[in-house]
Amino acid sequence: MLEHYLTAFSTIFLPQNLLALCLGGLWGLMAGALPGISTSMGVVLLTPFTYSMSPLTAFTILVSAYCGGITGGSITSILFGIPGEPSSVPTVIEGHSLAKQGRAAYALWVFLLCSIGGGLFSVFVMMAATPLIANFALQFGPPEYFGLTMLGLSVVSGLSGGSVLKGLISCLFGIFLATIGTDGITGVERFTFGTTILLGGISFITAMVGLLAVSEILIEAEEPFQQYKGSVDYKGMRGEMPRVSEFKRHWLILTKSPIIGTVIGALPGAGATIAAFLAYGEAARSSKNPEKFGHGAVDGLMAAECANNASTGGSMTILLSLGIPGSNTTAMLIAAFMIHGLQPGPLLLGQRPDIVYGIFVAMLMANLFLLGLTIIGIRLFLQLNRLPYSVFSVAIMILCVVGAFGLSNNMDDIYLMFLFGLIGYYMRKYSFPIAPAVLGLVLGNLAELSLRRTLLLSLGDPLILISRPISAILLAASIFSILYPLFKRPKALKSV
Amino acid sequence: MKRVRILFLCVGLIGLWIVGSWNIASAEYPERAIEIIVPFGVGGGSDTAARAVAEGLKPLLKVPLVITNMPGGAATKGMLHVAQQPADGYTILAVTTSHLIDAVQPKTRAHILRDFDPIMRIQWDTTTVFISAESKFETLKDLLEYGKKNPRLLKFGGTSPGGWAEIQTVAFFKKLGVEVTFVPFAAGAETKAAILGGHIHGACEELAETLPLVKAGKLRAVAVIMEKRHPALPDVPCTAELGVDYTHGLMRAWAVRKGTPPDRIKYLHDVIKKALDAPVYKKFVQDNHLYARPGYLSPEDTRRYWEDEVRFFTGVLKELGYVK
Repeated sequence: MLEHYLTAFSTIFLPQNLLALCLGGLWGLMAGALPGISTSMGVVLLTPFTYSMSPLTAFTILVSAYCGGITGGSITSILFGIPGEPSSVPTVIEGHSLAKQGRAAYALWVFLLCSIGGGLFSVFVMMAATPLIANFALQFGPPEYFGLTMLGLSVVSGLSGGSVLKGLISCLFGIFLATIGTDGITGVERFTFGTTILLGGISFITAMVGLLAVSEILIEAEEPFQQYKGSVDYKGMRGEMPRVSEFKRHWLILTKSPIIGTVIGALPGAGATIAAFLAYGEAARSSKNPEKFGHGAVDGLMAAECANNASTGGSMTILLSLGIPGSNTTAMLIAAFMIHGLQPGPLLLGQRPDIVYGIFVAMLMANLFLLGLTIIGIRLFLQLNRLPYSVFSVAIMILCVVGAFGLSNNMDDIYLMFLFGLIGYYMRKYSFPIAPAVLGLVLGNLAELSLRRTLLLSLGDPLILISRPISAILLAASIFSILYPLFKRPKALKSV
Repeated sequence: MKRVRILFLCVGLIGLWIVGSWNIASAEYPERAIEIIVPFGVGGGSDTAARAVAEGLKPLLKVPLVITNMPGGAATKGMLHVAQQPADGYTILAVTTSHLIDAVQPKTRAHILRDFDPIMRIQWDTTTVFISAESKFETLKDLLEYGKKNPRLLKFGGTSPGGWAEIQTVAFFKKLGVEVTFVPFAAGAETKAAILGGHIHGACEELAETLPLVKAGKLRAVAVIMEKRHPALPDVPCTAELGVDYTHGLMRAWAVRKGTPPDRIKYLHDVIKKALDAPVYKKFVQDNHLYARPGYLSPEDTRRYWEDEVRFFTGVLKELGYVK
């Protein structure tokens, strides 16, 4: 094994591979940062250029673009408040709040260090325990997925800020949105009113961009020509370097979150989004000052970013060991494997160890490379903070429209996005938290489908949910997570 | 005098403009980018197939070729979009068997037989019936015995509820006298994870998607749904051998909106047919084991094949009680 790593390291330092790391990372960062191009689209567009490269160089550039895309998405989230992927919603909520308080550079530092740390952690886990994690992930059938989604939804009280009731209403609204479209079990249309706009359901991106980004522009537009809040007290990268003590203080979150990310990232169909929300919710639950969540809580940002990036390693784990893609982007990587005459799966490690270990090392190096690339790139992005909001908001709106259109090249999504912008505007006006709605939308569909799949498997017997150990543990954990604040609150009241 | 001159000049210019634009109007097709609408997401089977053909096609065309993914509504959203574009041969729809199933009871105003003209059928894939390698069943016969004794207890997964995977699975087992429970998943990856984890018994999926795991000894193929054995799985019996008259497979074709000038369809047909001989595409066929049955059908044969399939699916869906 060691000799494989040595060979892999010596090949990665060949000039063409270093160039591939650099170019792939840059391309990924760009694709991730522009809302119109998703990470998977970035990898797709890059793939034809790799036909003529040697396999290892090709995978170096693709894997580097994959990692870059995930990192780049968070830059847009923090600076502009536009989530590029569902998994960056917690980052938008906490990171963008920080940016609005003029602490964009600080938020970017935290995000950068945490996401690179989470990414590196998952790469090490992937190197050490690929078969172990893959086998654990296989234990997850429909009942376990249901337990997982329930655990995810149970964090809603942590996301609600002031009023738990409003949080619940918002979450149920999100779950309702998730029922729109073609039903995943019978293929029947629901709530489409005979139109084609809603036939494919409401895509996460459209709803998220509308609810979070467009609504914010509408709110800000109420006070015309105001200076962008971010440019007040604007500080550069150097002045905002987080201190080591801050990371020390949150050591528990910084160990929990990457583990959550790696394990859940390995589950096909769940992946980065649930990982980010679970870690974020867990941080909110265990935080000493939960009232800060939603208004720029650093620990929330840390948790979400660690988990989000750690999911890349988890998802590569199951791809390399079983040939099953854990996410859209890794599905695209399979196509790239096949172009080079390779078949990802259990046999690959034995047949082409040079490729597998090469990919491990490439991911490791890509994460380190991105650290440097992003620090240089962020300086440029930060200059945007000096723009007056009247200009800045127009640019954001354009990015939103492009992002919504780019999803399926359809005007429908733009109309829906503006509709959600209005809904989000009124939600903000009446102080309904938006995060629970997004959580409901993202998890509602998976929760419903996995429950119905479970009942199909058991021929209608719900006992299957508690007769299987993992599912029982997950459901118990979610009940605990819902009840916990009830027991915690009286203490807090006493101290007041 | 001056005015007359200006008048002449104007008339001359207008004349030139008319002649010029007349020339442009009769300029050779294609003169601008051709767009291929893939009604599925990036990275899926239909998407990679379309991209492989496009790679072979690009060097043969003087104009750019653009692939646009328009997923949604079980592939009907993209179909509707193409049906609303002008019938000028600049928008191509990547058709799959899903559209033929949709034609039985259309979800949108678009109808594949009524609104489209096929350019050609490109691929005709093979379905394998597979189970986990750790399954207690060894052969298709074991599965059937169990299934006949325990109706609905045999659980098979797959994507596209009410679409290709479900109809193929349910209709195939129905033909063998077994009632299976179909458990829909969102993606092929999830189906396979559920089989490997022992949560469902098996699935019926296209061969190339399962072959790696079959070769690795994680999955066991018990039959290929075809009239002969598949060269990639020479030890696995085909349905014809097992005495089953069921050989349907997933089809992929390209089509344009009905009313497109025949010379443009012919141009597209000829150039795409040439692209199918390009090394890039040939390699794709090899990698995806699409060589077992001839994929190509001429436009007329494709239409006839489509009509037969729609008739077949109408019967199946009625028999299964999915439509009245």
